[in-house]
Amino acid sequence: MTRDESLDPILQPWMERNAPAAPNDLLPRVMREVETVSQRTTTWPRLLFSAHPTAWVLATAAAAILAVSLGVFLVSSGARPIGGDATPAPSGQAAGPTTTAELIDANLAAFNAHDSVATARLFTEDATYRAAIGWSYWNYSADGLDAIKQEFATHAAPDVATRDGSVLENGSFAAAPLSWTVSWTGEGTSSPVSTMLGSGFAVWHLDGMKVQSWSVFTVDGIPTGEPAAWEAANDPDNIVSKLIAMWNTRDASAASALFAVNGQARFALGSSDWTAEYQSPQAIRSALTDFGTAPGTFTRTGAVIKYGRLVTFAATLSSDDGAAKVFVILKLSPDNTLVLDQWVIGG
Amino acid sequence: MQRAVIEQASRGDRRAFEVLTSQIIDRLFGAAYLILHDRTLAEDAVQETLIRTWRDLPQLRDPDRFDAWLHRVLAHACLDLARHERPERQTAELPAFLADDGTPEEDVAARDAIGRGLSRLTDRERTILVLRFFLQLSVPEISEAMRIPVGTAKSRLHHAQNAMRAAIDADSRVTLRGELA
Repeated sequence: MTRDESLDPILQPWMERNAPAAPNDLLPRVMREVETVSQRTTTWPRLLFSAHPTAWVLATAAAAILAVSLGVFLVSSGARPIGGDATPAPSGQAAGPTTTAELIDANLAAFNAHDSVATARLFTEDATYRAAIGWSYWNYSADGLDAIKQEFATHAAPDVATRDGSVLENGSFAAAPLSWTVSWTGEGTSSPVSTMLGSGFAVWHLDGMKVQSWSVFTVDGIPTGEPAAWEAANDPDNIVSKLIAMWNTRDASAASALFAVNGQARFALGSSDWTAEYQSPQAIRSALTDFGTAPGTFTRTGAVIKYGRLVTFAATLSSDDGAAKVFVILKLSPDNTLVLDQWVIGG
Repeated sequence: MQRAVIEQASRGDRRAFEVLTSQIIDRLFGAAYLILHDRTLAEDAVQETLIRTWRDLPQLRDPDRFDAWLHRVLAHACLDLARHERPERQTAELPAFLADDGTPEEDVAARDAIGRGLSRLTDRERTILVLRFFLQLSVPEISEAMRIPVGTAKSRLHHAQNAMRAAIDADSRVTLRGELA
């Protein structure tokens, strides 16, 4: 074969011929696992359809506590807080937003009003909206302006998202804590309409005064487990410094001290195709070893900011492919030992 | 027909999910095997994909996007497994493909050259070729499955095809040198 020959007529039939069928026992194994999963766990989406009233009371209380605690601790340097109050800006957008905070609040106002026309003014043509729920892969995304407009328009009362703290900027990225109420229609189920209260962070990738991507990451429902041996964790700066050092030196033993016994980590590289998740300290330690020299070095470029038990900071992730500005989001366990929840990376 | 089954499965109907799974499992396994070159890892990838599908299906709002969503989950599962279960993948010489039933192929040399060529690619390159040539996705569909912009998908596909041609060329030179020696 020469380099000029097309692979099309060769590879497709070759793959068809050489792709084996699934072993006969794979389907029964999968279905057994499905059965087990169904019995063992109430997964996030199914929780929505089967939530007990008590759970709603607890969720409401948790959301209220989180909302009250947001913004309690704000260290000013580096990552620049914008619009320091927790009150969304007025939604009058006739003249268009002129600041990042206004743009973000206009985004939320359009979402809350199910206003596809206002949405069209805020997003770029090739924008992306996505929601990452719990520990799943990206569960939902809308790619392109038409899909985003439809997404905004199809929401219904009482869907609402509220900004609960300052907007932070890092290059062309911005982040803010959110809480939201979203309902689902489950026709044919025992719960035709279910409502979910959530809280977490959103990260926006901005193109001037337009939104290029909007990602929402929930942080609820993460088990916190037993505290780790490492105890100097009351100071978020200390936690972050230890975390960055652990990562940059690929120090697996330090990882053991940083994470609770069931600590978890998730990495999402912006709009790229890479996501990974690790659901135990052992897996995290193994991942640190596997990464070797990639994907580079973290440098904190902004303040460490704590919202309740959430910690975020702006950073630069440098690798052979270049440098990306990112936001890192951590969640602390109840006793303030570190459980690495999410590394939300916009880049 | 599949849309109705997807909708039933998304409501928690395990029987519907089994029907759905029985329709797609061979294709998924074939793709996973072509990407990973390892039956055990391919089984793990398919199992992971289907469990995630069951768990997250209620959040799939548009059943018409099921295939694209499924391919995305499969691609991620394969790449995750490759990254963490086979960290030596970039340097190891993976075995060439063998016909699954163990019977000889008519054109063993050509088959082996393609198999060895694929073996020399990175997991990511193989993934994009499998999405394109085995699952027969369009470039926009590959873009969605791999969560990359369309332009990036196009360039990565082009790069993977070039890498495949180069691998086959290199293989033929090695074979020729062996025959001359």
